Amino acid sequence: MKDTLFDQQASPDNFIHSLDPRTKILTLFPLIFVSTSTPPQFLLSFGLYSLYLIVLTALARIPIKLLIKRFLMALPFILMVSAYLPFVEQQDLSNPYSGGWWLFWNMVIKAFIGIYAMSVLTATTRFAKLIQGFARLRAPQLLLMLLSFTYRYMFVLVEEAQRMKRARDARAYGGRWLWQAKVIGQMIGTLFLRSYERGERVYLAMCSRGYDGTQSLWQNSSEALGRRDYAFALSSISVFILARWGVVI
Amino acid sequence: MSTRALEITDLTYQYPNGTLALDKLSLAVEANERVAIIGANGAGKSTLLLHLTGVLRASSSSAFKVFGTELSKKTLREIRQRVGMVFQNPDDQLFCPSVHEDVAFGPRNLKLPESEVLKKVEESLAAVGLPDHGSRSAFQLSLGQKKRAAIATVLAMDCQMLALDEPTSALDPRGRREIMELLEQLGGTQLIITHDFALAQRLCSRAIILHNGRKVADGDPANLLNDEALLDAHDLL
Repeated sequence: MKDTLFDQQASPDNFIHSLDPRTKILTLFPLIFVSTSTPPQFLLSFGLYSLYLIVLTALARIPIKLLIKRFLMALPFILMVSAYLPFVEQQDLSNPYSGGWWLFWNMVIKAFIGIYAMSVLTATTRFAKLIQGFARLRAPQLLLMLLSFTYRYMFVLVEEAQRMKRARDARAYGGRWLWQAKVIGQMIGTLFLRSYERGERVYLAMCSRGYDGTQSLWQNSSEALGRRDYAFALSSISVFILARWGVVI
Repeated sequence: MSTRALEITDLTYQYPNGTLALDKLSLAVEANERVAIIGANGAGKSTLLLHLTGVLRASSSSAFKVFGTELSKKTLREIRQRVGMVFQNPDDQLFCPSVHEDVAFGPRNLKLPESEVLKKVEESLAAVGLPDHGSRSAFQLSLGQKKRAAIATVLAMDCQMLALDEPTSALDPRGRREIMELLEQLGGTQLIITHDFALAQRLCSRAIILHNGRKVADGDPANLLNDEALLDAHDLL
């Protein structure tokens, strides 16, 4: 597993890619807030948000395939919370934009904008840079450490699980039937124990390099944002404000 | 008299389950000496290393001195800075999203200014032959590169002594040769725990053989590791 979900697209020679991670965080997160606060009947606003993201996609040359993969990953979760709405919710007669279908639309479009925005962020920013960006924005250190360890060991763990699965299959164990749940349970248990032990070893490695829980893992001294960063952030935020409050339906 | 890099006297350790891992072990390593610690599995090599990291504490009847400083809770921080531990599995040692961050981790913990940290990172990565790999993630590296990056993480801390746990295990011949050349070139005091006899003979001026928690031989690697009777008696052949 050489190419990862996060790092395969980050290339430094592109305008969007080369923006400071803080700029991207401070533009794309507000987009989510603005979009979430938009009433569902503001169709033009949602169209403009999408258009904004499509322009970014084109500028950053993010492959459509990557985006589709991300949407498909999130789809089950979106459907889980929204698919039943049209059949359950009754329309409130005093409000023409209430009722199941509007609620459904409301949820789906906002999830779409949110996932799209985060996909643009992660597809154009290396994970290490992203975490550093959050650190410079004074995000809680503990949370960032958790994220960074998860990212680092996710693939190690996946490979470990694959090796175990291979070892299991090599000893003629096939299928996933209910009566084989015991073996699967044992595998999960082993994986848990191994991860636990690895955690201890990693902590040891941290301690032996002078970690005592008080230091910051990331560089704290911030470089100033460049002119391009300000220009990008300001123009983007103006677009959001116009799309949200400037559009008359 | 110059200070010894490592001086251990009567170190005994019994695991809670009753296994006697170290049995009155005494050994000394001079400064700028490269010493191989050899022993079959279960001989006490890893337990020795755990003492060096301060995870296990020596009992009061023994002495454990690193560059003349007795290892204790108070001196642990100082000793950890002096001894660069390179763990067997580089995946345990490289825990940051990028190699650069990993190498910067130690110097940042030492509270060096950021410009100094950057300098150290560049120097250390260059020293292990990975100057352009800082922005990579550890899982994009080969095992040999990971092992070298792990060595870079402790080089950046200006340690006085390197303690390496099986630096050449599981490497292909090229990776193994590169590690050996790197260690030779780095010099300084090195404590190398290994099963790799060729490494011990080529790099080390001394070899110490452990068996059942005791030191059973100490001398020139060329003599010890060609002594079949000795090796056979201690499960090494």
